[in-house]
Amino acid sequence: MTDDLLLALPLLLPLAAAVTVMLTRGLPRLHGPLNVACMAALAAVGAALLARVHDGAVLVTFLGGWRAPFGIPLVADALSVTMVLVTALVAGCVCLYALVDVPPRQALVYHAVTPVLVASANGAFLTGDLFNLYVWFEVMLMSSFVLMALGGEAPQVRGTVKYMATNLVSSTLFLAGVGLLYGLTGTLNMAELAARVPALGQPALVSVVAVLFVVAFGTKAAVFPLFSWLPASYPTPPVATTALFAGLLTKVAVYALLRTFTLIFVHDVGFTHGALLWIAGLTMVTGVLGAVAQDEVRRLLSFHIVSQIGYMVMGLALLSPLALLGAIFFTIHNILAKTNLFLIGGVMARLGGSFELKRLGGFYRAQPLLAGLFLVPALALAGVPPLSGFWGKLLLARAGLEAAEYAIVAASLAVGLLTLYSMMKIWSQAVLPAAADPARPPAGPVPRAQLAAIGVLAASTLALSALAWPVCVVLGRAAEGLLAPTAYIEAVLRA
Amino acid sequence: MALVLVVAAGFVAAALAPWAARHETGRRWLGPAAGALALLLGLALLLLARAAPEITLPWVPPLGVELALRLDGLGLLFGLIVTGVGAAVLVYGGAYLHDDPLLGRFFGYLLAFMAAMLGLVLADDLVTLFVFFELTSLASYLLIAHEHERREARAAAQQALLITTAGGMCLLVALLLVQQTAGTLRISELRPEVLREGPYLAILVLVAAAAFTKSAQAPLHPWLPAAMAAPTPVSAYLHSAAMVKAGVFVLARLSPALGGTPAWTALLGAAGAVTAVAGAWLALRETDLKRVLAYTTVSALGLLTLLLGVGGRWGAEAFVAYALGHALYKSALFMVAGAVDHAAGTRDVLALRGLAGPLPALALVCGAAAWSFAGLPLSLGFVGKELAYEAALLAGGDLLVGALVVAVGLASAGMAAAACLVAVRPFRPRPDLPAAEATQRAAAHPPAPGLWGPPAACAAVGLVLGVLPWLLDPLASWAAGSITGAPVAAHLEAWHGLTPALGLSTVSAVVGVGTYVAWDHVRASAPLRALGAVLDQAPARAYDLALAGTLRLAGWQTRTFQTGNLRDYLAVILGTLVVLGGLALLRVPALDLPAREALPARDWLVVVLLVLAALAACAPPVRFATIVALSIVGYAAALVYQSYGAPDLALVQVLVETLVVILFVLVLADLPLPARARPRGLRAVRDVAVALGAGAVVTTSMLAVLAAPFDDKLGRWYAHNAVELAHGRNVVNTILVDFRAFDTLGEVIVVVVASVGVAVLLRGVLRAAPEPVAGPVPQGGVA
Repeated sequence: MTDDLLLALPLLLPLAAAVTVMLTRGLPRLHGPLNVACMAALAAVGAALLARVHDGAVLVTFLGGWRAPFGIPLVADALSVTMVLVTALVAGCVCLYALVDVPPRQALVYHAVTPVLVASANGAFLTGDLFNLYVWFEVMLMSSFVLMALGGEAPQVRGTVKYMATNLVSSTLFLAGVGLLYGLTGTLNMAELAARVPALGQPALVSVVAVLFVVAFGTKAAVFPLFSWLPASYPTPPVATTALFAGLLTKVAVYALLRTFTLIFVHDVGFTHGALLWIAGLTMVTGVLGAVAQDEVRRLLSFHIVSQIGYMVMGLALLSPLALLGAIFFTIHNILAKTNLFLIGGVMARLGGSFELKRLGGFYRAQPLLAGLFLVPALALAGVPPLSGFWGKLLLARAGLEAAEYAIVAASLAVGLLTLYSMMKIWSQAVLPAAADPARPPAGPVPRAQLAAIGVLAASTLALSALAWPVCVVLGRAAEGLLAPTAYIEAVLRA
Repeated sequence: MALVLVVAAGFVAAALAPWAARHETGRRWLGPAAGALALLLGLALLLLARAAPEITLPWVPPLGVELALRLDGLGLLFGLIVTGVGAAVLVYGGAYLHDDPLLGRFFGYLLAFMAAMLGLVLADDLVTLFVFFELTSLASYLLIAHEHERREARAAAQQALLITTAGGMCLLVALLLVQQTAGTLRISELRPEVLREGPYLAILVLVAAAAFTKSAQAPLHPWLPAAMAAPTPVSAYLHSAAMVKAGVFVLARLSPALGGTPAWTALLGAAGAVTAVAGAWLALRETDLKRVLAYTTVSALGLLTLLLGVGGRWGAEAFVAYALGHALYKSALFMVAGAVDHAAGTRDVLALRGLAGPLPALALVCGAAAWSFAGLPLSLGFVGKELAYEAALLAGGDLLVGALVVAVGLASAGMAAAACLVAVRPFRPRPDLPAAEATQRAAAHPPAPGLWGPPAACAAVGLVLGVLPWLLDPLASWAAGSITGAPVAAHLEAWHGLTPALGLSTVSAVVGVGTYVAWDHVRASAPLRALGAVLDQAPARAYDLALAGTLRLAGWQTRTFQTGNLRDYLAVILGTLVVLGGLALLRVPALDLPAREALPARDWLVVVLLVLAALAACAPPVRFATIVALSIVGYAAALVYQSYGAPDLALVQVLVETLVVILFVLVLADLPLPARARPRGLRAVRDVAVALGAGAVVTTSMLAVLAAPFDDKLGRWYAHNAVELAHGRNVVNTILVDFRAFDTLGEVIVVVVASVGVAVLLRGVLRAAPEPVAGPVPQGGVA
């Protein structure tokens, strides 16, 4: 298979799945399995791509054959391919979970739009053009909007309105930033931008533009203080939707931050990355405090998304090979664990009839397997060694100490403690106690597809924990590629 | 590899335990089988000892982390404690919880704990050590909460985990600092002189913080008495013999690298002395057997810390003897307390008396263990205490010697009193009093052999080693050598002759017995109450307050940011833009704005129109007027496009604007006005400021960018190549559908998905009954 096709498949496969779902309206039983199969194929593509780029190589294809900077390239390096692979994995698990979770009335739209969302994320990961990145953010925003509104319950619509309004504002700022950057450099190609921005000799002016990107991506990544839309909207739609959002959406924005603030905005790091470090610390702290204050599973987990984004931004802000490795590692770990926690929360609510902690209970006795599966992502998220979250935190803490940024290291560890507390809150208020209604313990069988989805994600978390060595080697190359993007730039401009 | 197998065996057994407990036979044999495994592992360690094996496997080389295990004297000592006491407790646990439906999980956690503990004591890599350190905390959490439907068990488990994990975080930072300073994580390769060059004090304080939380040093100890909510086997194993010793173990492990400085001696000596004294005397306020034992465990841990602080050959020898002696007698006493509870239905010393009659075997075991506990001659407790006195007497400096001797003496006296309280008071025959209810119950429920056999074994080993302490010489020499970092030839003796230490021992024993005789008065005496208020209730309250304070802060903060009002969220986003953008603009040297060319009159008209319309859109509370004003802004933008050479764009803008106005009017005409449409007061000021600020920042940025020269390479290339390469005369079209068709693909998808979304929403609206649009946010919502 040629590289060109391999690079296009992460977009083509899910789009084809979406079209197929639309065209086979009469065969609703086909849609769920089709999406699961599509995501499995996508994972295979991701693995094939990773085999090509894991040594630091960069693959490029020019869509329509128009060379950079005139056409739009798709660029695959270790970072983007890793994100594609992890996306396929979690999306596959969510589709598996959704086989038994989506009400029939909403099934068609859910199954048609979910692959579009995946395609948009892949587009964002692979594109080498800043405006095109904006386009895929728009596709992502629109498809997530549709998924979020699906069902149309009143609280859902209220959440969706907040989601839409804040994200549209951030998109506008993103677009304004793209325009200003084009005005400064005369190009939209990210590799060429990387080459031209230093030649401008106006780092402070570029930083003004960078602020637009910080605010735009920061809003979409839900960092402090721009996060309020997330806890307001994520808890409202069905779990199969929220779990996918929780795993993916904010992380696409984190990817965009990682890419642009290593490739383009690196000539005034005292200001840009200094600001990011502050943002990182405050995001961790406010997020986890928000989580601690919640008594509802989905809201608690939603605030946690915010908190954990702080760790990823911390890695970016420290801008060393170790720190970036930590940021990428943490992102992957978080996508796997967070998606899984939402899925488990969904099963708990299905069995226990509520998302409220105080109305749940009895799982420890009645559902030992589910309780055990909960512990895997929960402890990983809390950074209990030797699970994946611990390695991520260790990388970041070491990077922070090496940079002599003691405050952020202290904050990250204290936040880890509060994370543990909030995971314990779910465990000791919803899993351990006797069922709220002793006559109705949550004893029903868990649908096999859902158990499989949760099991696969838990196994992935365990695999990431056990394979920390090879993963760190590959991601370490990705981090080095981010810090010294010569290979990226040359692959795009000299191909 | 053998060491890896020793550690792994426990984890494998842990995974198998729940499976084995699914059948009745499995449940019955789980305890003995697990006990046999523990003994086997202990035996394996003994057999391996001669070879002193070590193994290093790469774990995460990019981080310098290795799975390094190494068997040395200290590791062997604690490994034998973990497996030996473990074997007794596992057998005991099988009998104690024989009818518990969650027996399988209980043994799973217990075996996992044993494996983690073995990993900890064998670790030669700091991260390996940390991983097992944390796993023991986790196992402790799961075990304390074993009776998971009891609220206090869950709260105690949570407190233990939070406190020990907070200590774990300190250890993590410390090990990273060590790695940064020494360039290695291997414990056996750490050089004290290198560490003292670096941030020695920070490392020391962080390591000590970790050890003090884990080993319950005052005032961080309240989690340990609270952890008595755990089933008794857990208390006997984790909270007396094994897990709580992990803290002092880490100190002992690092003492060759960190020890011997004045800071080390002061920190450990002071904390240890206070803890040793406070724990022993706080125990005398309690009436629950397990809580009495828990506080004396705190005291013993303090004594061990103190001995490490004193250091040197004597300190190390005393540490070894005392650690082993304590593990043996304390686990035995806990198991006895559990057996008493099983038989008599209570552990309250006030309700227990005359138990020697119905429970003679238990009385004998308890007496034997308490003999060592009280530090009476011919017991390992005596050997350890004598050595402790020796170490204190030999420490340099008169003042120091005085303080240490007083501390050891007070602690020993308190422990002797507690020993009587535990072993004499409940068991002593009292023919003068009518038989208590508990005694009658105990007569009807004689404990099974599984409940008194294991503690008997522990107590017996303690006595045998007390009589023949020289049996321990090889182990003690090796272990003390690992602590001091230099070879030690230890010689333990049952009888030291008439030494000052013996005199001190006698004094403390007499004081202890005297205290016991007067216990009914001592218990509620003012000094003990004051001690409890300062060192017990105050820290416990501080923990509660810290937790409640964090929760209150969390609630306040969440309400502040999560107002549920979209207007606030947007104001925050734009406000952030204003602040960050403003800061960035201030940093631009000589902000270069383009020269103001005179605008033609026609453009001035458009500008004025734009501004007026924008203001009008904000002003009136009439929705229709807002729509009209907004549309004027749109049409004025079209005029701008028109006058700057983009007629096609202007055309599109006019079409879109018209369509939007029509839609707006159609839709909004039917909606009621929301109740709180307009902000007032400060909020209004904030909104105006944010709006103006955002406009100013974006405009200034744009002007600054426009001032820079523009490279139109792309535009020229497209114009030049549209016909030849893309075969189209309309350059814009060639860009849209050819050069950058990928963008268009995305936009087409946006349109398709958007129409799907509209259909979805419409279906929802048509289905649902009409309801107020701006209804109140439901109670408790954060939306």
